[in-house]
Amino acid sequence: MANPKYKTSGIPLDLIYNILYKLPAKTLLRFRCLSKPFCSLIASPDFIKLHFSHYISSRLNFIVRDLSLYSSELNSFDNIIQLNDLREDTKVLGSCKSFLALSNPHLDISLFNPANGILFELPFPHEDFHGDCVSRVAFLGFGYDHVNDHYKVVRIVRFRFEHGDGSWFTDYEVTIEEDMEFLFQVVYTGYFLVVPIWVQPYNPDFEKDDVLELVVLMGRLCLVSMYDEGILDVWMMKEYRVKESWFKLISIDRSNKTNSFSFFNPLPFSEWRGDEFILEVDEEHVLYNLKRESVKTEKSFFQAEEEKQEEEQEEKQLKMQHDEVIWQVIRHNHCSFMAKIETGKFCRNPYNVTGICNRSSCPLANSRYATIRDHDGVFYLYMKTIERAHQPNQLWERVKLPRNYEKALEIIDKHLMYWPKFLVHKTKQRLTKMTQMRIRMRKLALKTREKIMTTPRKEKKREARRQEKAEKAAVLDKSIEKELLERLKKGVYGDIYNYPADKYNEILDKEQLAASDLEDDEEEAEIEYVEGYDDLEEEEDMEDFGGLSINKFHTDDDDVGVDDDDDEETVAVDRKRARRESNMTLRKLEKDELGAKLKKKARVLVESGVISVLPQPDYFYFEKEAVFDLAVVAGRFCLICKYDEGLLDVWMMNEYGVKESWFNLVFIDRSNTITSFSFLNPPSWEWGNGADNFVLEVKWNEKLVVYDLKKQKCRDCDD
Amino acid sequence: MSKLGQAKRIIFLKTADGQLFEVDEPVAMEFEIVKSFFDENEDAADDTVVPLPNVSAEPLAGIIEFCKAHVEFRANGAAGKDEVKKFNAEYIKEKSNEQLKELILAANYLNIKEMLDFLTETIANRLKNKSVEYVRAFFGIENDFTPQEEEAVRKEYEWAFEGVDED
Repeated sequence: MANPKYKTSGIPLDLIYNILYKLPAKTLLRFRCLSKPFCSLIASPDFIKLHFSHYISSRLNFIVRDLSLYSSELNSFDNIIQLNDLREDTKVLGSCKSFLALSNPHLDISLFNPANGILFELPFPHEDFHGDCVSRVAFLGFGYDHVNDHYKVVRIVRFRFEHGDGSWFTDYEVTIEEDMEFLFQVVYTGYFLVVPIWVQPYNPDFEKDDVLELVVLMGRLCLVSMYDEGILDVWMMKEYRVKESWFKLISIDRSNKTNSFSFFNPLPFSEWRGDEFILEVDEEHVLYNLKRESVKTEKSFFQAEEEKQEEEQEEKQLKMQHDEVIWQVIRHNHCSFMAKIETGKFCRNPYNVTGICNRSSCPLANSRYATIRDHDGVFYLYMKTIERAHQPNQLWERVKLPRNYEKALEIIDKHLMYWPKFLVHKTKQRLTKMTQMRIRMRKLALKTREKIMTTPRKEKKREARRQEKAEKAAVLDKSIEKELLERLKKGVYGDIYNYPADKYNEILDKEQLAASDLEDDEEEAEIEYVEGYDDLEEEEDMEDFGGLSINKFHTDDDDVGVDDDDDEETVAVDRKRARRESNMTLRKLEKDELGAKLKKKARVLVESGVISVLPQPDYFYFEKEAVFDLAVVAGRFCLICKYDEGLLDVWMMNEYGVKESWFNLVFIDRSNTITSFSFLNPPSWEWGNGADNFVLEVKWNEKLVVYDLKKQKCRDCDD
Repeated sequence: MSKLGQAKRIIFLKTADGQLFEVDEPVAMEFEIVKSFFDENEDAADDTVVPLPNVSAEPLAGIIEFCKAHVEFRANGAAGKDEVKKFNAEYIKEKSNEQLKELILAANYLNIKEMLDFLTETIANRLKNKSVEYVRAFFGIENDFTPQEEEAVRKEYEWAFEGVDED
């Protein structure tokens, strides 16, 4: 006699809930129709959260491969299920709290909801934040903010500007106000909040050309930087937006191995298994052990499949050409292309797609083979057509690739559509590398560089002889003396005239004679006077000038009272006066008896600017032979002194005109190195954000260096 | 209670319809309710009959079968996951919906966590692609929507109603 109540109306509500948690979202949406209480239950936020945690916790890693999304069981590679088809070049950006973020090279970001299998594109802002930057690289990350219950897409944008090589990080945080409805219908009701923050870790190895990636590990933001030499660093930010909390999590050095990381990715939703977690490195799934700091490769599902495919292909092709036989024959030192060196085995064959000597990239032992070759800057895609193996000169079929990288990729895709994935991938990798190389070559070619030339000895001697003769013919000494005298008369040299003393006396004597002559002739007509200096054009100019300026005084000055009607005469008189005055300046240099007019004239000359004397810093080696430069940095006056011995001093005046505020900003001693500063002019200055990021550009040894104030170190700089 | 040297302790369970079951101790201890019964009455005699007023004979027999197998699996050192899976699939195969419901009720009453998880999973799998009407009948839910209201709710997520199995 079972209780009849249970038999008919069934199961208690909490059991039903437990069942509902295990249903996919689509089914739940359908079950809203069951009854009104169920409808409100399924739509309630609490239920949705619980459903999330139940449904997802029973799964899953997600892997993107070959334009599809796969799921596998957590931290293993069992039960791989294909989920969604994706657009080209999509990769997993990150995952947290039951969402998966995917991105592609165009920086489109979409969110994937594994609960209902819906892919939803985010309207991510695309506009540039700074207009005048030349290039922009962005790195994206996806995470979940536990405190505010938000999902966040973080974008680090690195701007490179036209002037200077300043590149820096800006972090844009985008908050997605996540709606609970998101589970069921993909309705987007969020807003973007763009907050620039500085999150760059302090990293002394920070070079410009790293590959950077943002990932989320254990709910924390990680920055993965890969250097060319095969070193991989992972930095983790312990506390979000706290700069000090960055620390180095992992550093993997693969520089002494031939295969380096081409990419690195922690598997979405992968969790820490004790000290281990799974990374995707170089298309392999690698188990990284934090404690032992070692890497263990796990052969992935895909690799196994790939190998199977390859085997099948090989079987087919065995009939055409016996690849395996060829490989067996040549692999043991019988290949003339093989080069065995310490780091590994390499291949000299120009058709080799990787340059490494192994079975898969041997151009001889593969009937299906494709590679890219460079003919004077033009790339050609080479494909082997094994049917023509009997005609070696027609064995390869080549296709010209366009300059545009993306178009070239398309062409490769088109021609290698049904080829093994491995070959297509390697070919594309080669194209990328070659394109980068071509860009670098072009840059180098455009750069102006020092060129060493020869000059014939004979010519040099002849030129020297001619120069000597020409100098003699020009009678330089005399013309210089003449010119200097003229300038002296004009008063170009300001106040001090009696140095050197003997020359000064000589001139004075000469001029006295001339002056007495002039005084004698004062009553005479003006024409005669001019005649005497007829041949000197400048003299006339000078007189005209003097006359005019004095004339101006006359018209301005009422005391003199010159009439307008006898203009000509005034000019004539003025000229005489001017002459006399200039003579007077010579004669009565240090006397104050100069007339009012002269005083006025002097003032006119000085009026262009006020000269004041700035104090100079103490301990300032003026006596040493130094080259000086002046610069203004951050609105402050700087004095840059370069001494012959290879010392560079930069003084800064903190407060304008205050002697005590001089301080030594930079001091670089290169006296004990061979290369000293060959060139330091004009240094361009940049202040970064705050005083420690101070950057100074100094040119020495044909190189620009950047001086870091904080570290007191010079750093070479590429551009 | 259990004395050393005694080969096997047997626990007597009495169902709602008056049948008496003899169960080995480790299997009976899978049932939280039995376990707590003995925890509370430590001085209970060996031949104490535990009354189970909410469980009838048929589901109890099924549950004992399931627990026996699983206790054995565990004794064999987790005994290979495939084996367990195979047994579970076999076990659930010929059970009707009614039987399943009785099982889950009984398991719920007896509070057997492992079996509850397994049964909810099974039922969820059975219901995954079923229509609303089927599920209503299954859970005995009364439809309190008017036809117009139901139509409106259906309209909202029409795509969710695609690909439903025949009942």
